Amino acid sequence: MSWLRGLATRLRALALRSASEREMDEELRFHLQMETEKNLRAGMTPEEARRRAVLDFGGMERHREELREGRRLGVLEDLARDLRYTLRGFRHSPAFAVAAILTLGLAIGAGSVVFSLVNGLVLRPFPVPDPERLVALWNFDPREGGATQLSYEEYLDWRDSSGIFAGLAGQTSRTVSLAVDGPAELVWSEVVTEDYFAVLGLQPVVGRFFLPEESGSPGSYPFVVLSHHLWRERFRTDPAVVGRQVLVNGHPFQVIGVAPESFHGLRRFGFWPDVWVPMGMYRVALPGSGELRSGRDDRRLLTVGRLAPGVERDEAEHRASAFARRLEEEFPATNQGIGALLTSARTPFDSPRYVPPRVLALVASLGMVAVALLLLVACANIASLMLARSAARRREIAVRLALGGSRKRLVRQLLTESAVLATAGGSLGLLIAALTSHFQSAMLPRLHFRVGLDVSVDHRVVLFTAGIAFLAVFLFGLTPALRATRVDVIPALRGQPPRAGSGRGRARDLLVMGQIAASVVLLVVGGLFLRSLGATRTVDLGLDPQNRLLLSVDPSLQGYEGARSLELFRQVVRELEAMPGVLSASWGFPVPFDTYENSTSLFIAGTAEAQKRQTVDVSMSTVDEGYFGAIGTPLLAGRDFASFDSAGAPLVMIVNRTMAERYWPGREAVGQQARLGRVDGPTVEVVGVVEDGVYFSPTDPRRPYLFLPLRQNGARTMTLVIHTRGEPEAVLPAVREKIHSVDPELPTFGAVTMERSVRNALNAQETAAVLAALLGALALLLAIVGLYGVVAYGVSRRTRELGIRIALGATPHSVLGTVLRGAGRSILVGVSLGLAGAVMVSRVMGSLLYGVSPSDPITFFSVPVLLSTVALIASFLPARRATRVDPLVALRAE
Amino acid sequence: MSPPPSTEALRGTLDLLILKTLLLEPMHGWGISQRIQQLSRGVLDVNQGSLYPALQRLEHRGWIRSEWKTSENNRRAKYYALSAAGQRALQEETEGWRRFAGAVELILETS
Repeated sequence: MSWLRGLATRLRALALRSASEREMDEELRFHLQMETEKNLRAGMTPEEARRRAVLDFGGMERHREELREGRRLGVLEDLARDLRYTLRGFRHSPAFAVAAILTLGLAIGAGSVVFSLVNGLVLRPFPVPDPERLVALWNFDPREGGATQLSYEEYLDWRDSSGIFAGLAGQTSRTVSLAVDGPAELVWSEVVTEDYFAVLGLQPVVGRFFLPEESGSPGSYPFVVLSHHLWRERFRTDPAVVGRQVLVNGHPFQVIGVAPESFHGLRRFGFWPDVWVPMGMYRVALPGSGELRSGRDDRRLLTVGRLAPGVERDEAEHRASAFARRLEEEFPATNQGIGALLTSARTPFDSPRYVPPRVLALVASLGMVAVALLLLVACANIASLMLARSAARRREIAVRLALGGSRKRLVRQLLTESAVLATAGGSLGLLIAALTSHFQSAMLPRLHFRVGLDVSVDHRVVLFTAGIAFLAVFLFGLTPALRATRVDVIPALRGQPPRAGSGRGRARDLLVMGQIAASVVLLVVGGLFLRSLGATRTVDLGLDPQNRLLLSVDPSLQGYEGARSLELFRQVVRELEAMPGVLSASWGFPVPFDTYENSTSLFIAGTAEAQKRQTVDVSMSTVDEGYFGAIGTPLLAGRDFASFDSAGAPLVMIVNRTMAERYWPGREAVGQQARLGRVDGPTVEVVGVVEDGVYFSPTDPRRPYLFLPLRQNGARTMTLVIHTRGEPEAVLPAVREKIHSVDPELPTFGAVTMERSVRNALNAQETAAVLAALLGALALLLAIVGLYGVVAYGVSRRTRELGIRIALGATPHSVLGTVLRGAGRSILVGVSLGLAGAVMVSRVMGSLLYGVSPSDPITFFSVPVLLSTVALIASFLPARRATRVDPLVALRAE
Repeated sequence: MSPPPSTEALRGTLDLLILKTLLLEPMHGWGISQRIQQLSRGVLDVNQGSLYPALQRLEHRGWIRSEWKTSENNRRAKYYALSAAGQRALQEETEGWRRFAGAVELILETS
């Protein structure tokens, strides 16, 4: 306790420094006075008394100094002093400080942005307690290619009898129409089992979530949970939203709660749901989809569960395999050959079949490598700058050393400078990252519903930024600090140039080589992505994306079905084709790049599968007559669908070229027959062959594809394909009006032009290419600046030597050659190293490229050439100054 | 006046003497130096240079407190007083000194 009071005294003395000084003076003066008076009383003369007193007391200044020494708080006060000194130094050379902070800020900012992406992609978990205990459950069916979803019956079995889960929830998602005091709009919804929120462990923002015990019999639990986004947009975050009535697909539901802002449903690469509907209300939410329990093989559920207490992953996987085998035995008809697969559901997830975790990990790692390289380049630059600066301060450092300053103290002071720069740069970088996350929407595809990565700055990003800023301090601060204080005191004081030691020069040369190498790697990666992007742009899409407008509806939500919906579709097309701005219109679903997928099974005689009495799965779309004309896909043989291909007429289908060649090689496909859906299904005949296209993404390999007529296959969601005369967007309002005139209640969604749709599909490649190219350009810029600095510094150091050479008759050419030789060597070594590194990195990223080989010669040739050229120009400028050195000035200067 | 003993050896002892002096009553720096000289019958003449650092040291340890007051001849002076912790410290330091002095005496006796 006593030391506490003592500490308080010292802090007070520190804080009120001037006041303490005055007090100290006063105390010492008092003492002197008393002593003087004592001497007076002893009989001395006033002058004698005073002199004696002063002599006895000793030097005042020494006392003062000793007292000051005692007051110091040691490290803390040193730090404060260092800070003030540093800031003063920066104020004298603002250019250096600004350059360093900007360089660091940009590099750290870029790094933070990439890390935010990685964070949103693989790191950020569900906002629930213990997310590590969450797992996703899949059926593993080798015939279907791997992981598939579960049926409702299977879900119940796993939930109640497997003993693996403390709770298991199921989910399916689709569009619903939602009306909030007004016209309905289409939103994305997740239809979930009632224990969904309980299993996940989410906490509502307002209200509450579904309670399984409340739900009762199907159809009797009309409650919904809203997303935070919807709550903000439609209800302005009014807490009284709880209890409000809304219409889902025309039926009244009551809002019971709002989900947290950072929760976007189960899937990472899925639309962000705006409403959650309990599974008990499936008849309303999923109209036309039959019963909930419609067979063990009607597999539509995504399932996620929380492991039972005490059950770890390994044990869970064992038990899951055993349980799957039990199901196989009990239900051989539907579960034959089907195993179980558990994947981590710590973060939002997708089917491992469509989004292999390896790809995600690869992308994340590449991102971090790029960040590391950029940071190294930036730090190398700043280290270079600091070395140059400390070279200029040799004299000052020598004086301080000579006066008795400890080397440790000096190093600490120089490190303080680095720390200040790093803090400023880190803050700037964090600011950049935060601003960028606001513009993330520009980087994302604009699809029907909201989608994206949550790249907001969270604690992980802040920690990461602080971490690399801290690391940066040592990367660029330590070596210059150590080096700077290793100064020969005497020559420095005399103002002599340092011994032409290779030490300092070598360090900067190495730095520049490293920078150039890093730039080469980043530029090669960026170049490969750019070329990949270019290749995707030239893919033959099999359709004409120009002047095509797409618009989707889902009439089943309004109660349309069967003949009524067909009539609706026909009427809309009639109205639209009567418009002057429309050349033709038709329906299809899914339309290419729509992010939806549909497929069916066929039993085709003569195929290998047919030998084994098995069907093949083929991707398909349901289209109306006139579709191929509207979308611009050429008909190669046979005919388009016609009005006589209706329900009751013989079943027909149209296939694409790949399908015709695969299943009926060397023969005319038109006229061939197959069985639809099952081995003994109804016969369907090929009536036409169309050109191949790409259906899901421009980077898809060619695949067989078939089309079934709308009239013979009911459909729910259908997309209008409108071939417009002029700009598609200009026609949109009129189109909407026409549809409105046919049915005012029918909501439309997903209006987009085909061109935009194609670009959306390429979004990932585009983002990667742009990011990589930006990073590469940034690295190149930094490397060039670094190179310029090094050459300029080298010239200034060799001024004397160059002056002598010129005086002895050297031509400007030879002087130029001397200087450039050094630079050229750095460039050569740097580029070679960089190429080696680039080869290694590009081999790893092969799976991410399209249409371009990882050792693409064009990229590997142009990047070094470009870089070397720019680098040589950057070296040329300061080198030219060397030729202008006036030998007399050079010889005289020191 | 005898030359003051070496600073090192005296430092700890000086603290002890200051504490003892303040046990009787609070006083200012000059007063402390005079009192020590007085009580030691002129043997110990405190080096002024060591006095104030010692006072500062003691204050930082929390053994003494300081306060600005008016002196007997109407001048402002900084008065020091013993704190509770200081009193305890004085006792401990005194015992320590007695042990030390006793030990030195023992060694000097044997010859």
